[in-house]
Amino acid sequence: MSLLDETVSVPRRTMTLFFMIDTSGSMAGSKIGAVNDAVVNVLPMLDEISITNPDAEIKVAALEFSTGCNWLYNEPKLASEFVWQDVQANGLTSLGAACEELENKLSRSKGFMQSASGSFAPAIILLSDGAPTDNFEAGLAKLQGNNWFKSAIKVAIAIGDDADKEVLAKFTGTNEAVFTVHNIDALKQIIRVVAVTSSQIGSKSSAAGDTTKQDQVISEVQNAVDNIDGAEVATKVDGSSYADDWD
Amino acid sequence: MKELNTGDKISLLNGGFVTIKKELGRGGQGIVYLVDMNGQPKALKWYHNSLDQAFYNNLASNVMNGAPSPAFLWPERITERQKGSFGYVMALRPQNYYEFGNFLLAKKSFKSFQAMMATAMKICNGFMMLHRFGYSYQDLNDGNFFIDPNTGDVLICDNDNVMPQGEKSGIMGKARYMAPEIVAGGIPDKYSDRFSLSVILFMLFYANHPFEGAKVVACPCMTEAYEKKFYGSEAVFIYDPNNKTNLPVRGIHQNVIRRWPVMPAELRETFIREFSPEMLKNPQSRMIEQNWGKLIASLRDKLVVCPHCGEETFIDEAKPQCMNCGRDVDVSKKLKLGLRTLLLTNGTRLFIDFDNTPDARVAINPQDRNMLLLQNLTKDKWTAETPSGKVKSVEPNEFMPVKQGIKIGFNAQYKGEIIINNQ
Amino acid sequence: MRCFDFHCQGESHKATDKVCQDYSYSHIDENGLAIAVVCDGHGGKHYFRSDVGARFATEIIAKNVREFVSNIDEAMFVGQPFTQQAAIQTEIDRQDFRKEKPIDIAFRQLFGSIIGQWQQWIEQHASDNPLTEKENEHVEEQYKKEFLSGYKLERIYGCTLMAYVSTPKYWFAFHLGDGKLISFDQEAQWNEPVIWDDRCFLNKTTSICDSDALNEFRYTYQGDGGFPVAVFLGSDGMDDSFGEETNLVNFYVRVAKSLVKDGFDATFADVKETLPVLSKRGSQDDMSIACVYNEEALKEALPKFILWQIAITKAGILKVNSKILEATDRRNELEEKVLTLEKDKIALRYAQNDIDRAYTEKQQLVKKMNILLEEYYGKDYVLYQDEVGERPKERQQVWRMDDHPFRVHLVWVENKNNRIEL
Repeated sequence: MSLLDETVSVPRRTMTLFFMIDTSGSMAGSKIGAVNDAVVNVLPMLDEISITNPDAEIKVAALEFSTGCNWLYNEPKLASEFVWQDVQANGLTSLGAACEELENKLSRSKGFMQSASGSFAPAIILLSDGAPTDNFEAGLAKLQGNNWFKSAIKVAIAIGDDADKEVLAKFTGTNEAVFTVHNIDALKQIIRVVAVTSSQIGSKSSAAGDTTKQDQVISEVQNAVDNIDGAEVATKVDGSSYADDWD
Repeated sequence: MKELNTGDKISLLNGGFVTIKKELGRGGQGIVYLVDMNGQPKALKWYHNSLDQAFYNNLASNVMNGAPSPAFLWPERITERQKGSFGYVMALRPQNYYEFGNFLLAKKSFKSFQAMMATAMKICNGFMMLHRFGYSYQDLNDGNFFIDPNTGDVLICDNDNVMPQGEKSGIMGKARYMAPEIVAGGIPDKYSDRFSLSVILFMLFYANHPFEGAKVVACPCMTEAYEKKFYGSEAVFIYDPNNKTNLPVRGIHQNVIRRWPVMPAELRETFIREFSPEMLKNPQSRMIEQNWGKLIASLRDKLVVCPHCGEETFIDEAKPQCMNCGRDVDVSKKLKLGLRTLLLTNGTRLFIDFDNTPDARVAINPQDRNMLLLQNLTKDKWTAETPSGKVKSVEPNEFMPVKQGIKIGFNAQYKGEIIINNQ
Repeated sequence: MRCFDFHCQGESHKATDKVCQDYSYSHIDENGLAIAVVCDGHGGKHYFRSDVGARFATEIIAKNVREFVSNIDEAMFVGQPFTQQAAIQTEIDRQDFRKEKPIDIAFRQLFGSIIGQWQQWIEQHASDNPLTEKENEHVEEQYKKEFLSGYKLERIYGCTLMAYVSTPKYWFAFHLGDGKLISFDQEAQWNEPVIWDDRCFLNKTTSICDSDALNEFRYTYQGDGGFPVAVFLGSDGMDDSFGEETNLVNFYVRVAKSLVKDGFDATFADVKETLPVLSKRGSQDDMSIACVYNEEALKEALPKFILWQIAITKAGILKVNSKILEATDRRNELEEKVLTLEKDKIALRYAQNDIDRAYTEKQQLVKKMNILLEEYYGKDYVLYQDEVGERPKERQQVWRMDDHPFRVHLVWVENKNNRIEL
């Protein structure tokens, strides 16, 4: 095709999977160990999806947050090239700052969404065990104004009972996208299920949305969660939010 | 005509002058400038072409007579003829008032139904006073109305074409607002003004023109011939029960499609009657301004604050459910005012007379949450008579209880009685 | 003035046996009226007759635009500068309210007639054409029910639309939904003349089947004598294949060049062959393109088009140069250290990878550059060269003395003259 000569580039499309990992002090020990283990093991699975998927390649970016926040690498890496370095747990829980940092990078001109992403929304997986210690509302508000975030698949994994599930539900937009785990095994399994499902669904070409990708991910993960011991799904919200008669 | 420059001094008829500051805007007829008149900022409309003496005289006499009602941004002074033309001075339009056209396109919306009702009432009153003064409007279009979306306050501008009834000023308004007989070539008068009023009220409530439905959508380009048909000889009301050829179209007339079922039945019935083929042909039987006022008051009487969700809702006594949350609203407590029934619920403001200042407020007794109170928001003392014959007075800002059988004299004109239906 | 248009089934549609849901149209009338239209029917399972919707929209637009142009008072356009009108929601978001002029009212009338007649046509189509066997088999129960109930029938036929219209005295363009409308001027500068609607993002789009469709139209017009040299309309299958907009523009430039150099017939044949390939390599989606251009003006602007391509290739080269330099610095820094931390060892590996990748990209860009330079300057062109070069500089390890006597360590140095330095 002379019209598609060397002067014309048709890039491969990319879907980016973001891990936002709570590395505050309370995650120390077996929890952070489980996270490290789970991510290391899920990367090859993501790579497989990337290779066999004709629609898009999958890139991974990881943001750890404790007292401050920090990207593991300065740009998203292909799953096959992503070398996971174990993260350590120490400090506070600056989820607000992490939201702002994520919002910075969810941009085409100066962020991570540069490489010809065509029409793939990113997937964002938030892992946390506790409540934020900074101004989370402000950070989230900024994030919610971002178009990429609005279209993203958002899932949160709450680790243990101390996790502030309301906060996580605010992040994902629905408490159905918040999955709680109570033991280490469940944690590992769910990280795997969520990452794989988000990548599979996220990187498929879909049409003008009926069921959003987020909803598809939620329903598939819910099905899988039934089989994971120690993991639970949030119950459906009661539709009527009105107070009773005041008399 | 030369355009005016900053610093130019324009002399006024009967003495005085204004100094040009800068241009504010321009339209088909002339340019509007910001001017200074004795230290006061005002607006000056300066015509592109020098219009004839008849126009000048009419304008001068309008200035002499003053505005028929506060709704009108009226010419205050007329200039002398100079620099090849002339103009008139008026007050500046305040900030935060938006052209009616913005509301039609839903670029701006009323903050509340209350505000919408206030606009409707003020426009009605304005028309009534206009006709009492013997004028007719002539050049009505959506550019004439400026509305504050928060309060519903409205100012009617571009009043230079207001004429005594029966005279034709030569400026023809848009066919959309003209009565069918005027589209056909007749002379505007108070009857055709009433038609325009009904169109404006319809557009205020439903943000859609009463004749613009499927028929009008058929042509890609509105020509004069089509206009004469759709707004004149073949005008069909979009919700005419006997003629379904002009129903509103999905995607285009969304405003009326959504609002028609939501606004009270009273309103629907009125418009169906006013725009029926018989009525269109009968200018003399069109509803007079006073009756539009009564209709709007009646709507306001049913506009309450839902005690459950806090949103405004119209209440149909037969099926008293909130429009927003669907829950039942207690309509047992009412104020009967002649033929009117005002619903009493906590938070509701009552409008006894036909202006836009609330006259009473309904509140809950903090000591007995089952009892409602009525607060006097007027400047006059109310006289209340209990069922046992005791006479009490309610000073301005004072509260009185809402109890069965109490008669209230609000002023010489309005007297009401509290009725409580116990379930 | 000349025009062409083409639409074809997307790769993913072929796989699922779904017809092409795009439609395109272009024509130059005898009186000099040029029309180009592209409509894209929605792809989801809900929209199982959007191919019909797209075709109807295209036909109605062409018909109504002709009636509009022949009845409208030309004086409304003549003398008007380049004027844009955003979708109503965009105006509200920006709190920038424009006063309605007669020309805006006229456009609203045109758009209303398009929506209204489209609605009539699809309702008629639904009543004349009950569910086919294939539809009964493949369409989900809930959508079949919707079709039979007639409720919100428009969704099943829903599509986006865009059009460009020019007469000898003025031109206008309007757009509802996604896809891209790109224009080129005499300086080969490109533009998106119609204001974008932010509600069209990733795979979401506004549509003729929306309840607020009339307010979602956005349009632009000009009547002061300024005309684009070429206008390209493309459905989102096109721009999704290219990702970044400059890649898409570059493709259109390529087509423009071909129109001048190889002529209309050869180029059109090329376009027809290329689009399916593009779909396969790129978006997988249905592809449609429509183009209106001025032959002489395009020919005159040809050298400027090549210069534009040279400029963006140069910009790309500069970008990859800085990537190379930055990665090289990173690598060199890490090499200086004695690496004990796993983190640093990984970072070193990554740095080296980045350098290699950047150089590969550089080589491709330089190849591109040379092709373009030859095109512009002819056979005597000078090959592209710069400081950073196209391949990593040769290095080798040599021993260096430590500060501590009798200790040496290995360092990398550039092998400039094939001699070993000490």
